[in-house]
Amino acid sequence: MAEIIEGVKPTRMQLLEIRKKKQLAKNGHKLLSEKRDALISQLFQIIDVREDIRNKVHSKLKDAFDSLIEAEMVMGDTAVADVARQIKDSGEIEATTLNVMGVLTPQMEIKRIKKKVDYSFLSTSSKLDEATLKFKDLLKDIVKLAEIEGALENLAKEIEKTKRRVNALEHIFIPRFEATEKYIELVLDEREREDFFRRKRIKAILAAKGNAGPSS
Amino acid sequence: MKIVAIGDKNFVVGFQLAGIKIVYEVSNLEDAKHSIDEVKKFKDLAIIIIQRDISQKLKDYIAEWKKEKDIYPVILELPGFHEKGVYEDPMREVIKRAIGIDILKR
Repeated sequence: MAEIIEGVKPTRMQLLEIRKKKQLAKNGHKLLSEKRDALISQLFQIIDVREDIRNKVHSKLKDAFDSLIEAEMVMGDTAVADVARQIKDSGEIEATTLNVMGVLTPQMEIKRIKKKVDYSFLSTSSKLDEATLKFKDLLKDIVKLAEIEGALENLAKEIEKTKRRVNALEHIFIPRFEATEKYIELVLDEREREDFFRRKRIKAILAAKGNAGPSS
Repeated sequence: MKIVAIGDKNFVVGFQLAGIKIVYEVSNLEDAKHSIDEVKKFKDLAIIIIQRDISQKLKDYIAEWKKEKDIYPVILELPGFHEKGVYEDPMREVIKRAIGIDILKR
């Protein structure tokens, strides 16, 4: 049995107040557990999508690295590194946030990926072009993957928080309110019985007195 | 917003070819830690790509950062060129904590 709330006075006012609080806690518990279930189903959906994209990114990345190594074999790795440093910036991302049931999740879009290579063709090998195109192609998927992983992380955090709240309400707050309510009811009943008895008793005494001396 | 890549030479060159300008080439863990500290100071970052080799070794360090960061930047772990063997999926722990069971495939 849960403990009763300390310092509570067994009065009718308190009883009403506690009943109100208990109702509130129950409503909150219902809402929160619904939220938790919804979030978890959302999480499951995302997990599957993530698995697909992750596998895609990993295989593409492997492919791209193979091309890169081939290019390095043909041109020498310092030459490749030199070319890599000249590539124009295309890593600009449009980032916003999306609200999924009260959870903020990242929403990103990469603005421009040029499909052409911007270095001189004279001193480079065609293998390098291949590697460059593969990496550029990869970038979009990477952004998508990052978006999903970010969403997953935030959802997981929120689920944890919600779960803790649901459990606290279910196992601590609601039993405590119920125990306190019961305690107050018992005390009030007891007092009522005492009162009742006292009235009976006084009536009896008065009646006895009345019989003994009718003049008074 | 920008993307940052942290990894060994091949990793960094690959992402440079894709047009990512801010890259940190690291050869040991000390370097990696320093560059992560430096990256933390940036304001305008969307994604941080870290090579799996490094992120697995600095798992605790990164986990701590994840706790204090906002939604952005998203930290993404990707395998480097010659990485074999079994690595643990960083999302596994997250999901396990959230729903209580381990549902990701090994």
